[in-house]
Amino acid sequence: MTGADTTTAALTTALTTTVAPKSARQETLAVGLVIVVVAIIAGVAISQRQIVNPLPRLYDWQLSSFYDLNKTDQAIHSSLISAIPEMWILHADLLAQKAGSKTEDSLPNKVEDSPLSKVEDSQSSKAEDSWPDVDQLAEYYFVAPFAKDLFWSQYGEVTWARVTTFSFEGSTVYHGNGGSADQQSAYLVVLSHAHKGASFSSSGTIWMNADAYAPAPNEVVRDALIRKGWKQVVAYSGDMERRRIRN
Amino acid sequence: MKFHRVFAAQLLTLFCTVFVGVFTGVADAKPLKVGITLHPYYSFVANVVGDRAEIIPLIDAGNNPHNYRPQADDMRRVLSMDALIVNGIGHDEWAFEIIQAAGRKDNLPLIYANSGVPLIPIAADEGEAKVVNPHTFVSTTVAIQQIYTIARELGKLDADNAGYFRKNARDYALKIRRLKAKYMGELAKLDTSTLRCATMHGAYGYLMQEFGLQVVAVIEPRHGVAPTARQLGDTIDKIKAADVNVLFAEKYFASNLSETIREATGVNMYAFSHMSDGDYSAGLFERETQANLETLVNAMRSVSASTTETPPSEATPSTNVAE
Repeated sequence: MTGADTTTAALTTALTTTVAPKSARQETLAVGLVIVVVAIIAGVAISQRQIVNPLPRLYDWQLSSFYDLNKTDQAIHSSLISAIPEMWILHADLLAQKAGSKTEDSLPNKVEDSPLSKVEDSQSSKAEDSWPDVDQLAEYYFVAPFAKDLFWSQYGEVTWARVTTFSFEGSTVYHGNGGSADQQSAYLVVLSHAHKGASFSSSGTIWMNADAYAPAPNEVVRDALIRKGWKQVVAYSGDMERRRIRN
Repeated sequence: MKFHRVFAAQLLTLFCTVFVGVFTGVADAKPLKVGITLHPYYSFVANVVGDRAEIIPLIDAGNNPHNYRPQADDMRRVLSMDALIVNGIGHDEWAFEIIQAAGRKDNLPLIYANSGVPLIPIAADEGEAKVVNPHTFVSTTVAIQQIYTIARELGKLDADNAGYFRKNARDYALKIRRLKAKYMGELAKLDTSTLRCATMHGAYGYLMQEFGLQVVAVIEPRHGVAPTARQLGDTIDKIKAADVNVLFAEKYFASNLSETIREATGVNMYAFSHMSDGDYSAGLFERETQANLETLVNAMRSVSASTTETPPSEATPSTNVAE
């Protein structure tokens, strides 16, 4: 064996020396610890990223306008929601007429020709007379779903009426039933008592009954309506969608 | 000497009081500067405020609001606004980027036109996850609800003119209702039962809903986003299976896809306005709504005529997109 061979053999020996871990148990523990730390960080991050559900939790006596209604009921609900501010405005007009005054926002050039003025002439000043009836909404103001137009015929030709028996409860109610569209409901619009200065209010609730021929209820308090099979419709509004997007 | 000092102090106080009063009085008398994000909101606000407020469009006319990228000028404009009216449900998300970038997130009153509007899903998405349709301004009934919301909220910011805004909102709402009633009368003369329509874009759900018309299919998954070959194939199959006879394309956002679909299915084509083009003007909403309702009546006439076996020469031409 030459001197070079001896050197090579020594180097080879040095290079192939196996270094055992200080402790296999310690290495396992270290890897486990790293896994636990990563899991904790991920858990905290996920918990901080929770999205708050913007949808109100519905009771079993409520329906979501977005998820629970068929197209016919959805269309009628949309039109009723849009009609409510109009009802309040006309109500304010009628109150102003009864009081013998006109507000700046009343429609003097139109109201004089409108059926509203005829109501004042021909009827008493009972509280329920300060709300427009269905014919006024339909024929003069073309308000859906009361106007007997294409919308009305496409969505079941519902028979609408203002119910005048609730004035003692401080509510005004519009009732629609007898629609002929597939799986159509009966409808109620409940406008609560008008407070002074509420002329531009848009408050009102809409109820539906799976029985398309459900008659107008005798009471419009919540529990009585629920007992008669009515369900309150909760609109999926722009506010809710905005909160969903922003969250 | 003491008397003079007291008198001078009182005089100074009086002067300051009068000066501040006059100054703030002048400031209060300044008309509101109301920002808007979309064309229809310009029309709504212009008809509500008349000459008692200044309207500032947030972005220049001629931009597509679906894929808009904020510009430096937008930030300059937002700095001058007293309030901004937004769609807020997905059609003008860029407005919030602009507000943030301009540092007005905490001090610019926002009026959410859709705050009380009951939203509906994009048409024809049964069986799939329901997606909110943000095109509430392409309508009449829901537009009126937004007009009332805008008038009410502006009245809170400018109490002196609240009654004036309310009156204008009512007048404007009645004009829109009369416009709708006119075309309702036209449509009532036609047989609408055979109309089976699809739309290129999901913008027309609210409009079709208020006329009792159903949309069978929406071609674009999102506005300006072309469907994949597979999606297009599926849509063509769907149109054929549902026996669709009218396709409503878009007046201002023409797409070769509509022609492809027409050739593949043989449907009649008409074009609706999305109300997102042209100059900002008080009359834009009424003008474009009238055009849309005219188009709807024409489409219906065509369908109605074909079901009563009118000779083709008398029917409306099958392609009406190039308006």
